[in-house]
Amino acid sequence: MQFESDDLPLSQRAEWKDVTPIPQDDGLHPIAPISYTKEYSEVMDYFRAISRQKELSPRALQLTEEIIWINPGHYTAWAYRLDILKHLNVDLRTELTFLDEFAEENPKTYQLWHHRREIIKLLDDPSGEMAVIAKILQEDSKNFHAWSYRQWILTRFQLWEGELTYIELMLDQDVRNNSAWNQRYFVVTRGNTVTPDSGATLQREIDYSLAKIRLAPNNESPWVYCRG
Amino acid sequence: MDPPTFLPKKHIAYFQRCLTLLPHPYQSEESVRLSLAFFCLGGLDVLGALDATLTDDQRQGHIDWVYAQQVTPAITTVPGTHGFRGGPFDGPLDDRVNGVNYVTANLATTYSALLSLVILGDDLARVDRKAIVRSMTYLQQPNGGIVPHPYSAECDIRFLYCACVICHLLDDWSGFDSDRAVEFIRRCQNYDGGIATSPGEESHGGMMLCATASLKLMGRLADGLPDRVAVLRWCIDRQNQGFHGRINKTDDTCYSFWVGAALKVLGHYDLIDDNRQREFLLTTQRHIGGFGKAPTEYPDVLHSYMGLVAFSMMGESGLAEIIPELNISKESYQKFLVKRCV
Ligand SMILES: [Zn+2]
Repeated sequence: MQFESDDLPLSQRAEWKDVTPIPQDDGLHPIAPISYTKEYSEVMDYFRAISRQKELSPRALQLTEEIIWINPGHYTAWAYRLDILKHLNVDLRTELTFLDEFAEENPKTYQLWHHRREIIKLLDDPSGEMAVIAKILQEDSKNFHAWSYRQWILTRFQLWEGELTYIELMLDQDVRNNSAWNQRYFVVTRGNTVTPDSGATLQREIDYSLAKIRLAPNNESPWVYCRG
Repeated sequence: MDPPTFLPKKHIAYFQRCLTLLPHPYQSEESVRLSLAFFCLGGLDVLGALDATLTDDQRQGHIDWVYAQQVTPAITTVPGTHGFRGGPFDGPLDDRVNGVNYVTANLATTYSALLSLVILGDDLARVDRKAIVRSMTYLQQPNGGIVPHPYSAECDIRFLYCACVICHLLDDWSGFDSDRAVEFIRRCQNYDGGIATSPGEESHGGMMLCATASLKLMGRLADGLPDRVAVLRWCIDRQNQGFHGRINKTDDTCYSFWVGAALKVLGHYDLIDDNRQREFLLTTQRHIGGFGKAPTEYPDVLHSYMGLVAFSMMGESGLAEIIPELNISKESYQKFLVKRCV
């Protein structure tokens, strides 16, 4: 959803003419006031004016986007955005594309990954998600938000097939990646591709961790994995 | 060059500056501004500099500012929204014309608000206890975990900890199911002895304090985590020079607080190598005051507060002693208890 004029200040955009912005009232003795940038103050002045009326409109959707680019942890803006998306019946694939772009810049935002869960629940289609997560983990293989989201996808859509192979790939790249070791434990104990309690599985996992310990004996990850 | 030393005067100046004005990068954290405020007030409290910083009028003014963030049933009747919001960013609370949709408190900022009020010398008499307690019954999930506000699905141990401190300070546990909370904490414990944000995730230093402090406050430290040895081993293994938060990650100032305070709660702080930790923290301390997360990083209020508390836990003279599970100085807390009794 793009407006032609979205590089102009909101006060100069035609579609915002009818809105009276509400400045923040910080009282007489504010604690830790923030020296906001002009851009942020302005989008928030408009946010205060329309979010409380629960205006569910295309311009409101655009506004939430401008806010979360500056303040990715703005949980109210994210909640508002989700309501607008549902109300306007926006094509949620477009939203996923936006989230991909957003994740590139802000991969460690709690709200981003929870918002993505909500979108995927609505679409009820996880295809493409594993590739998106893999891309984020390629940038930072220990991003626990991405791993947590991956666990959610695996569990909800029962996509266990292939996960051990992926983990082995990650461990081949970095045998000290504890997030990947944890994921291995998660798959072995909760997935449906292996029987966790069988002697064969246990033996295989012990052999695997011992082999990795031999590669780098002072690596704590496989030691605790083996003990576990 | 002289070896670096701990610089309390610089830290006082740093927190005083932040209390007065935070630079614009903090706008990306303004939804939890009350937590930023808490770090500044808590820092000055630990440094014993609060009286020298605030006049009585300013102190009262700050107390009023915190109360101005209180979301009560008179403002909105949406279940789960009561407590303290992060700041005035979402607009005036008495807006009869526009309404107050999306205005909500959250457990993390309610936690910060109550601690800030206690530090400022307030007795919490103006807190709408009933409303907060009732909110919690809406926010706690069947699995025992708790979400921070009604628009969130982040059900994890961070907010469970905030809830425990809130119940403790309000002296009312009736809105919180402790048995199920303990169950949730147990399910967060991993094969490595550590604690995850939520079940199945990787163990994380911050969550270790959340778990142990919650159990302590619920009076369940003795039986809450069955394998105490594994817990201790996980904590101690997090020390390299300073502390790191996950296996095979690098040291970061804040984990001297998270893991250190967990060890304090567990009664085993003596297992830390103080000298090595001190060396590390002196490299993340900045000349202008404050601490960064790593040796080359700018200071920020979170890492500054946590670095400072680490020095307090090591017994640095001149610093107030903190109660690790509540994250507040003993002195401020005891003054509050006296006030609450009258
Ligand atoms: Zn940190």
